[in-house]
Amino acid sequence: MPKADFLASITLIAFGVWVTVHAFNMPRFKKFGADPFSVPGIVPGILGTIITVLSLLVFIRSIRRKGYRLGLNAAVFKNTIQNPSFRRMLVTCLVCVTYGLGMVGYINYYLATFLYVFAFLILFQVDFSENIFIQRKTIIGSFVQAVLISGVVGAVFRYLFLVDLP
Amino acid sequence: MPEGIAIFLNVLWQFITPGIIFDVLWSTQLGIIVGMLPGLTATMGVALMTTLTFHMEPSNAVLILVCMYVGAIYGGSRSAILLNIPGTPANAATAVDGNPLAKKGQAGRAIGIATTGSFLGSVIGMIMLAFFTPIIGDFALNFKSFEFFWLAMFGVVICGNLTAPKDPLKGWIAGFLGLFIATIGMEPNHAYPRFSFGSVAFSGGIHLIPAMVGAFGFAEIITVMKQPQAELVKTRLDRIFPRVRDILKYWKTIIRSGLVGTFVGAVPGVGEDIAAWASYDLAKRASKEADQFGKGSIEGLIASETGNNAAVAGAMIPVLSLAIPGSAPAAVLLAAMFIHGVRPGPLIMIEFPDFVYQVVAMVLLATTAMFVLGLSMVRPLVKVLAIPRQKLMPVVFVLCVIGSYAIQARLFDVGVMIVFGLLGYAMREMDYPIAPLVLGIILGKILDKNLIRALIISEGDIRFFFESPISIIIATITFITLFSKTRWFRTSVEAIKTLIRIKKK
Repeated sequence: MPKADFLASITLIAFGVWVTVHAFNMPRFKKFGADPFSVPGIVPGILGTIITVLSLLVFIRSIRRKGYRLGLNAAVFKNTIQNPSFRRMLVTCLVCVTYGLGMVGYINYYLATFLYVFAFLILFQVDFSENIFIQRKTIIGSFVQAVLISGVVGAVFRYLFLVDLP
Repeated sequence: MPEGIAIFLNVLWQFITPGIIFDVLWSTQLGIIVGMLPGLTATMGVALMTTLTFHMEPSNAVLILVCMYVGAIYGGSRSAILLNIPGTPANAATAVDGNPLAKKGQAGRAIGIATTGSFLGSVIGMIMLAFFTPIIGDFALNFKSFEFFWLAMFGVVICGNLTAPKDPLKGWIAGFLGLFIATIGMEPNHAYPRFSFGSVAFSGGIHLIPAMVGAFGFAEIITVMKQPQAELVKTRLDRIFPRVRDILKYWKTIIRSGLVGTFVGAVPGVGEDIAAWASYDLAKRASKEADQFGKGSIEGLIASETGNNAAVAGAMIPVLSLAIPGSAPAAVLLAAMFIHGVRPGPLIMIEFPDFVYQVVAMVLLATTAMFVLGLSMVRPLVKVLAIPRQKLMPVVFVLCVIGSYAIQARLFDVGVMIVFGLLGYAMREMDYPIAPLVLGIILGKILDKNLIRALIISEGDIRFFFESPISIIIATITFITLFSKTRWFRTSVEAIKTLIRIKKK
């Protein structure tokens, strides 16, 4: 955890400083006679400073615990990438982000949802090292489930909850 | 108080209609299913249900959300007992004794006891909700900007402290990040769009529901898919209806856990999981059978389930009286109340005098439905637990996406949900709690408005922040909470204790 704390605290310090500087540069509306304590940057400025100070404490602690010794090398990367848990996490993120940010709103909702669910089911249920033909039941089942989910969810939100689908 | 009882009975009578009873039954049952499925939390269930009910009548919509909340917190005990995986974080303590009981072939007994414990906890919490909300609401009418500022600070600090007990620094960072997120968008005094960078969408601010659906929903999906598939305990379900002597034997534990659960639930942002652990820990300390805890103790199971369900009603006390949530699902409930035009807070007993008792009646209906459904629908529902996660999670994500979009019909909210999902997952991996972040987003508006107002009134004089007795008390507790983890504070306390001991001698 000290390594993660080290990296996270650097990111948070940079973020806190950015928030503080940005808040400081916000307009103060002096020419409109605004009260100096009502300016837009005052609360974000205070919060940015607090985030910076707290992150600095985590940073100092991580340095004491030798978190700066990251030990990043090719072997660590290889082990991480080959780890099945990491792969499952990565595939989940990729498929979900692609659906949410790249498909919904850009192509027909029913089609986008069908493609997403089908891809998700295939990626997690089909063993690509085995003969695909043997797994045809799984593939057909995934196809049927994807059709049902996209149809039912879309119809329920469109006609029952009166939501204009993206 | 007699007037309150009369309003409560009147409201309850109005709720007894076939349509409302039907709504109570299906939403509580759905809550139980959501709670029992690992990967679907109470927060996510209430958040998704908010998106589905916002066309409904306010009282109906809030009733469905309360039923979902009560059902989900209870439902998590099923997977805790049968899978050794708590369905919601609130049921983690339940798994400690529930799963060993299931492995001994007493899964039915464990489910029956968990159901009864949840029911009794919820009833105790409901009584406290009815009693304390009007009192706290009246008291909060004396709050001015300074007090509200300190209350917001206290909420973030105590929540950070309790949700990250090993490393409160991370809890506080998460809380202040949440407060910062709330400042994004148009500020109220000069209509200046902060941190918007010319984007109209950002000028509207970050909406709570998509942020919570992401932080609790999408993050949970990633976590569940990362973990190996859980195995269902192969056990026959014996007698489910609890034995009266099992319950009567532990009446002290039930009352203690109910009170502790309600109190912990009422602390801003802390929630049902801490309530369950606090009740469990106190029960273990007071028990004559402490050695049985962790090996299938009935008392331990009762304590955790009574505690977490009492916290549900407890979490609604600050929601109604101060507009500050006691837990993450209560935060969504608070947002849903605002969506439906009900404004909880100190003025609730003046603006919506019946609403507090309506919520109490809703909790009673949800609790009764939970008890009946919990004892009668066990065997068919166990089959739901056998659904493979890879079939369930894409459906959940589809609901997260459409649910986030549905509230304001903005694709921007889908982006918010995804960003908060990834952020929430990264925070979990690095031991940063999510609850303070979410509480910060809610308290941010209160803090922003009241800090600026207080600074203008006091012309920047800090002494005004420590003028009223309420401010002094809340500020003192906040500072003690902040500094209690530092070495010099602990050394000072030890030194004072030693001095007292020497003086006594």
